[in-house]
Amino acid sequence: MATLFIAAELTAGTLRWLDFRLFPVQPSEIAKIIIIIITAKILADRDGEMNKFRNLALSMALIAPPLALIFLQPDLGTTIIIAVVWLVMVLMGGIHLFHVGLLGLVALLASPVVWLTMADYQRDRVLLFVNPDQADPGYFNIQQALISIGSGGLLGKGFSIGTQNQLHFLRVRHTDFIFSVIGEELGMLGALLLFALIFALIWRIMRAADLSGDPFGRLICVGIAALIFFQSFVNLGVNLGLLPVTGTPLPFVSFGGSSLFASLIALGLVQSVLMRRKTLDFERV
Amino acid sequence: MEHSKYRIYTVMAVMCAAGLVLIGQLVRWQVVEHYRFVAWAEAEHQDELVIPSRRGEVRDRSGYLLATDLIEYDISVSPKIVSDPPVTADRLDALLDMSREEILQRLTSKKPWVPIAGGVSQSVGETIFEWDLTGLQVEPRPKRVYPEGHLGAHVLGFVNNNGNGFYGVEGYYDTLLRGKPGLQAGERSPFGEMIPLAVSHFVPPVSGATLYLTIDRTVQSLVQQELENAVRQYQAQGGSVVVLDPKTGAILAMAGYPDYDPNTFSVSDNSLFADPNVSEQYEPGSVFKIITMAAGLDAGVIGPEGIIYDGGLIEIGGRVIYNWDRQGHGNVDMTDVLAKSLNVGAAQVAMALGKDRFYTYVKRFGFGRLTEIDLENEGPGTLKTPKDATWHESDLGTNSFGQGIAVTPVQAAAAIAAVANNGLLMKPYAVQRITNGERSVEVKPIVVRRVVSADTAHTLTNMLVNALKRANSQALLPGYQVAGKTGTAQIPVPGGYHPTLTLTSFGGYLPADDPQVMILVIIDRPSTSKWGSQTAAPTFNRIAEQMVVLLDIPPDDVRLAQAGQ
Repeated sequence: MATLFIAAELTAGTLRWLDFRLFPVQPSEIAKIIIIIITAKILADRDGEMNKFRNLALSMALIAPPLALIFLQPDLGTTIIIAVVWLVMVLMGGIHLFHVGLLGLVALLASPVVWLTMADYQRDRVLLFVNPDQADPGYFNIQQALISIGSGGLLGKGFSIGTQNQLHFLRVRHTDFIFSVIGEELGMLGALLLFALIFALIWRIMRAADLSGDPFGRLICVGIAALIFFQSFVNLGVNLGLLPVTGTPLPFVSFGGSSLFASLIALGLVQSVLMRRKTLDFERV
Repeated sequence: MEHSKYRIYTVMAVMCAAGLVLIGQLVRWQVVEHYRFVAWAEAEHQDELVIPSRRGEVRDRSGYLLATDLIEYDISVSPKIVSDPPVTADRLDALLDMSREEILQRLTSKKPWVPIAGGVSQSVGETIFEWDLTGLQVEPRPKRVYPEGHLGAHVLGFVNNNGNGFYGVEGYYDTLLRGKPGLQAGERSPFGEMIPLAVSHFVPPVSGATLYLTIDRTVQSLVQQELENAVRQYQAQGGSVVVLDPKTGAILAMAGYPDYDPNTFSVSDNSLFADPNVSEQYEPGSVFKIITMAAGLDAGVIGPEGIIYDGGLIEIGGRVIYNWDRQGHGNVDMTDVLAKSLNVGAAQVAMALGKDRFYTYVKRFGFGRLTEIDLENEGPGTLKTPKDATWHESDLGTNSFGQGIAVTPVQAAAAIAAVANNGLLMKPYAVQRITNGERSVEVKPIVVRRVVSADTAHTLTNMLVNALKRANSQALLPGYQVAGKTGTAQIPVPGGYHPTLTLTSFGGYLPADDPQVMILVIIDRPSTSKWGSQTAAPTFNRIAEQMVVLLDIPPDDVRLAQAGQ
């Protein structure tokens, strides 16, 4: 619990980056992991009783403050990712389906408030997505991403010789729009290969969830699978013109220390769940 | 536990579905719309650089330069990469017509690119270019200059800052003058620069053609000077003069006053841009009696010695027409009708012709339609014929002496010149020769049509000569037979005519037996006298007097003696 509040404390700061000795880390990246662990713990402790509204409310109350702080940071992308991860976890934790509907209703009612408290540039991005204006400078990147991917075709233009990204028509190409580079240079073949790798990774994490004997381990794995999946989905969706621009990195692919750092911690946790199961199996034998 | 397995599968299924949406979108962009994006990407870094062509020159008939392109420079700065703004500002301050503070302010602007000065002279621009300072851009651009200033401004027109020609020959021959821009295609960087090694094809620019006008610089200068003097002397609002060669239709000089300097067109009153000689119409007044008389003679309804009775007024279509002096002149011959400029006489000729024949002749002389002179913005004038609903029976009477009809000066000049040219109407033209590199095209005179027989033309010329003599006209030039006619037209105002203001004119040619030059003088609203005989006629005389010297036209007796040898 204390960790949660420390994390909340960190994210609350106007400073978006924490300078650890080796490299700067975005506190919200760490917060994702911590929130998964805390939520998993809460749900696991109340295994079988999560269909009670009281328990759902408790879990929600615990993630609400850090979520609000991240939202106000402002980091809408991370807020939505954490909310979705939490939703998947409480679903797996066994909440009542009626409560799921109730959550949906609350989200619907809260959406105008969220819209009004959003930063201007976030609203602009959403509006630009809903109503693309070619003259808007913000549209340039989205357009360039699509041109890169589209012109890549089936087999791509070849590694490191994609004209659009190499001539810098495509901006932020090594971070948020890395997928467009892959799409341009390696074509659909490379993109599908990447999809397959992400799918395999999530498949293995879900398998770990399935294999873990205890609800805590299972929920950690599910949370992490949801995190990696949803981050990937948002990033790819932005690149493919399905979602408004959020600035979400592609896990394990985008350049950037803290995202990779958090992703590796997440995989470490999954690994530890698997190791613990082996111990349990051993004890059982 | 089964319960949670079911939920795991649900979540997995949702994830797979989401993955399929992504794949679907991937297929859409990379397979279905692939070619559209390829073309788009190509277009983005394939670029065509337009290499401007050099605009052709305009010269007078003997080659004097009237319009050409010079190079000017635009100076701009990328403030972020300027090394030492204060020092650079000092250096620029010494050359540019700007304060040092202003220059420094632009050099240190937060914007990525700031223009400093536009239209800097060639020497200053080249000096700054040679400094080769980082962050300072020196871009050349053509600047149209007219070395003779006001000379022939209306005939020349001007070129705006985008390189588009307007009015005069600059407007009419814009396409020919501007040439064809070249093209350099290749790849470009996202910052818009061409990548030098990646040029895929190159089309060199084609320079524009050079025009040699029919205008003679000296004649033009003389005409402009005399016109300006006349407008001053008679305290008029303005005026215009057309001088042409009646045998070809070539314009020797054409002036409108007030005029403007095309070098500084951007600060000129733009109501002065249109050439009054081709774009504006006026009621010709009694000069038009030349046309009426030509028609009457050619149709045979009158003869040169024919006598008519002038009772001082005549009624046509319910309207009473008076002479200018409100007097009756009794029995007069046709030369008297011209000499005394009798409206009643002209109206009788028109009535004898009848409306059909009268308007057929008027149209044959080119009124009511474009002369198709090679100058921009020509107007057709206003001619009402019996076919028009607004035409009235009385118009036949008033039109016969040039009222209720509006013509452009160039129309009137061409029509009078047709009488001088044995009855052949020539198309007026302003460009004599078009050259481009090795190629050269000479413009040939074009006969529009025969308007009256040669006999009619000769007879009328003699009548015009005698009429001037009888009237003791101020237009007469000693040593030369001059044919011509004065005009004094009331100025139409809404609901009728202005009580006092007039537009006076004189159209004539010389030598009468072998016309070398036709001159039309128009004086707009003179104050010292309202009569053409006292304003336009003496102006004609002064122009003609110098013209015979410039054009080397010997006095009639000298010429005839030479011819007799």
